[in-house]
Amino acid sequence: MDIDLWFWRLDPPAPRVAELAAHLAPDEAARAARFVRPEGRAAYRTGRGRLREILASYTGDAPAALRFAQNAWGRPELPGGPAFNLSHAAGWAALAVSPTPVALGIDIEGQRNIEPAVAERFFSTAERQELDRLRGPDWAAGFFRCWTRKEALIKGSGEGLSLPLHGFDVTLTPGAPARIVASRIPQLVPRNWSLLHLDLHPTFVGALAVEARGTPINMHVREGRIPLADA
Amino acid sequence: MTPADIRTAYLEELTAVAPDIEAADVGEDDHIQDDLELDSMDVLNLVAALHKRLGVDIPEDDYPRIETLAKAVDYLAERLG
Repeated sequence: MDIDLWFWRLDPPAPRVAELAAHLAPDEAARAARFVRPEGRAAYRTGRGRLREILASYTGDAPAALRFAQNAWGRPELPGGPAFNLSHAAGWAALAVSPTPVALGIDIEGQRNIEPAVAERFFSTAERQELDRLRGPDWAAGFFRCWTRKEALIKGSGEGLSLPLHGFDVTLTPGAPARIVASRIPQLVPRNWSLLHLDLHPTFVGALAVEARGTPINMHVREGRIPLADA
Repeated sequence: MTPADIRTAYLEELTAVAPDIEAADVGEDDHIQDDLELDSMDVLNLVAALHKRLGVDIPEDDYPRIETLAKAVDYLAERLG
C-alpha cells in the first residue's frame, strides 16, 4: 500500500501566503482571520491552501473547487478524493495521502517542556511503566513517541479524542519498533493497524497510523526531505 | 484567592505553555485553540499547570470551561470557592 507524505513550512514569504489564501473557502478564510497573531493567520492560510493544492493534484480539480466534508467526529474528508490526514507543529505541516481508500492518521510534534502530570493522566498504565524506566532526554523522546503514536491512531480511527487515550497501549522506548501492544477498545484492533515512526529531526518526531490490515506500507516523501531542516 | 489573582495565575500559566503569546494580547473571549493557536498538547499542559498551581483538578468534561480567559476565571473561582 502506497502512502504519500508531504511536508511544508508554514511561514513562506507573504506573496506565497496570499497565493495560497486565494484557494480558501469562505469558512476557512473566516477561520484564519480569527487568529490573534499574524503568524497564526499566515500559518493557517498556508496549511489549508497548500493542502488544497496537493489534494487537487490527485483529483484534477482546481484547489479552490474542493469541497471538504466532516465525518461524525469532525475530521475533514474529501468526498470522491483520496484519503488524507494533516498535522502541523513547530512551523511545519505534514500530510499523509493514500490514493486508495484506507483509514489513516498522522501526527507530528516538536519536543517541548511537558508537565509529567500529562503522562500520568493520559497514558495507559503499561505506557507509564515503560516511560518511568526512561530518564532525561530518553524520557522526553519516549513521551513524544507515545503521544504521536496515540494521536495518529485516534486520528486514523476517525473518532479523535472521543476515544479514551488510556484504552490502548503503544510502544514508546526509543529504538523499539512502533506498534500497538494491546487495545481495550473495539475501534482499534492491533493486528489491523500499522504504526510507523517518523524520525523527522532530533527534536521533532511524528507517527503515521494506517489501517492496512497487514498489507506492507510503502512511504513516499513527495515534498520536503527527512530530516526536516530548521525544525 | 480573588478573581484578579486567578486571572493572573491563568495568564501566567497560559503564556508559559505558549511562549509566543503575550499576556497583553489575550482578549477576554479569545478561544485558546481557535484564536490563540494552542494545540491539544498545550491544552493538556495548561490543565496540568493549573492543577499544580491552584490545586484544581479539571476533568475532561470541563475543558470547555477554561477555553477563554473570561470563562476560566469564572470556572476556577467557582471551583476554588
